Amino acid sequence: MSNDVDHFLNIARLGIDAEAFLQTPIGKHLKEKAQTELDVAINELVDADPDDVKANREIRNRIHVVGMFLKWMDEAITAGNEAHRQLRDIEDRSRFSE
Amino acid sequence: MGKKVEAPEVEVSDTTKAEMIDPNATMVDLDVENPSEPEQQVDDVRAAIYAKHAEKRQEEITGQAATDELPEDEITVKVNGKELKVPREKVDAAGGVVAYQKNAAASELLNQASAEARRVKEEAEALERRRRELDEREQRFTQAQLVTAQKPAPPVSDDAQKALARQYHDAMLDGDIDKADELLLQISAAQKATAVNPDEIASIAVKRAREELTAEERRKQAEKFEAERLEAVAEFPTKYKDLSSNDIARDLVDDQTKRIYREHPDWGAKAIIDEAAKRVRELIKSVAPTTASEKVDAKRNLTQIRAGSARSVNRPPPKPQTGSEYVSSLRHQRGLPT
Repeated sequence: MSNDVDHFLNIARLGIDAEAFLQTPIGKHLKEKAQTELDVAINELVDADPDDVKANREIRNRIHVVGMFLKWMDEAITAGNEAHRQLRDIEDRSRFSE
Repeated sequence: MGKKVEAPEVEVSDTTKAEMIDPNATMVDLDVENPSEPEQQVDDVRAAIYAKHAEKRQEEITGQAATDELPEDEITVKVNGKELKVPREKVDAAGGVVAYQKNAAASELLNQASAEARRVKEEAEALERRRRELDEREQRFTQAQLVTAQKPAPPVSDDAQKALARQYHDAMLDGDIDKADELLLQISAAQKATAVNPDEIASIAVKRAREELTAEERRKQAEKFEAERLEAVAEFPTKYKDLSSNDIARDLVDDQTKRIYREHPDWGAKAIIDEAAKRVRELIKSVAPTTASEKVDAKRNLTQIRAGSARSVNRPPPKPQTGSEYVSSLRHQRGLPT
C-alpha cells in the first residue's frame, strides 16, 4: 500500500510541477508558441499539395512535435490530478477498513 | 414898684447838689427899700450877678415855656446834667427835688455800672469763644499735619505748587482762614512729597538686594536638586533591580515620586526615589501570597508550561498528514487551485 501511495504521490508532484510550469512566463510563452505553430502547420497542411509527400510529411512532423509537447504537458497534469484522486480513494478505503 | 428878679439858676452838673429851679421859690424882691445893710450889700452883689445872666436865662425860660408848657403837676428836674420832666407826685414822694435828684442820679449811675458790667461780661465771653475757636483750629491743623505725614502724597509738579500758593494768597486776602489753612497743609505736603528721602532710597536698595540674593539661592538649590536627581535615576537600575526590570513597577515608582515630592517638597531627589521604591515594594508585598498554602494554590492555578517541569499537559499526538493532504498543501503552496 505504501508503494502505491508513494507512486501516486510522485505522479501528483509531477503533475503539480507541470501545471506550475505552464503558469510561469516561460511556460506560457512555450504553450502559446506551440499553439501558434500547430495552427500554422494545420493550415499549411490544408493548403499543401496532397501529392507532395515530402511537404506533407514535413508539415505533419511539425504538427506532431508541437502536439507532442502540448500533449505531454497535458498528460502530466492529468496524471497528477488522477493520482491525487487515487490517493483520496486509498485513504477513504483505509479509513473505512479501520 | 419893686422889680422882682428871678434868681438865676446855678447849674452844678454831675453832682447831687440841689438846684433851686422853682421860680416861685427863687423870687427875690430887690426893690424892697431899706433892707438891712450887710444883707443889702450881699443882695446887691447877688443881684448884679443875677442881672448879668438874667436876660439869657429869660430867653431860655421863655423858649422852654413856649414849646412845652409844663403841666402844673410836672416839674423839670436835672439829673446828672440832663433835664427830666417828673411828676410832682414822685418828687414829693421822694422827699423833695433834692432827694429825688439824688435818688435818680444814683439809680442812673447804678444802671450805667450794670450796663458796663454786662458789656464787660459779654466781651469776656466773646474773647473766650474766640480763644476756643483758635484752640480747635490749632488742633485740627496739628491732626491734619499728622495725617499728611502718614500718607505720603504723590510728587506735585512745580506748576501745581505755584497754583496752590496763589490760591493761598487769595484766601488770605479774602479773609477765608479755613481755606488758607487747608491750602497751607497741601503746600507743606507737596513739598514733603517732592523732597528726596535718603532713608526711603536706602530701604528700597536693601529690599532689592535681598530679593536678588533669594533668587540666586533658589537657582542654586534647583541646580543641586537636578544633579542629585540624575544621579539617583542612574543608580536606580542597579539599586532596585527588581523594580526596574518590570515596567509596571517602574511606572508605580514614577507616580510615587511625584506624590512624595508634593508631600515633602523640601526632600532631596535621592530620598524621594528611595521612599517611592520602598512604598512600591511594600505594595507588591501586600498583594503577593505569603503563606505556603497560598503559594501552592497559586502554582496549581498556573496554566503556563515551565521548562524542566515534570508535569505536562496530555495532548494527543499531531495527526500525520495524508498523501492527499500533502498534495493539496503542495498545490496551495504553488498557487494552483485545490
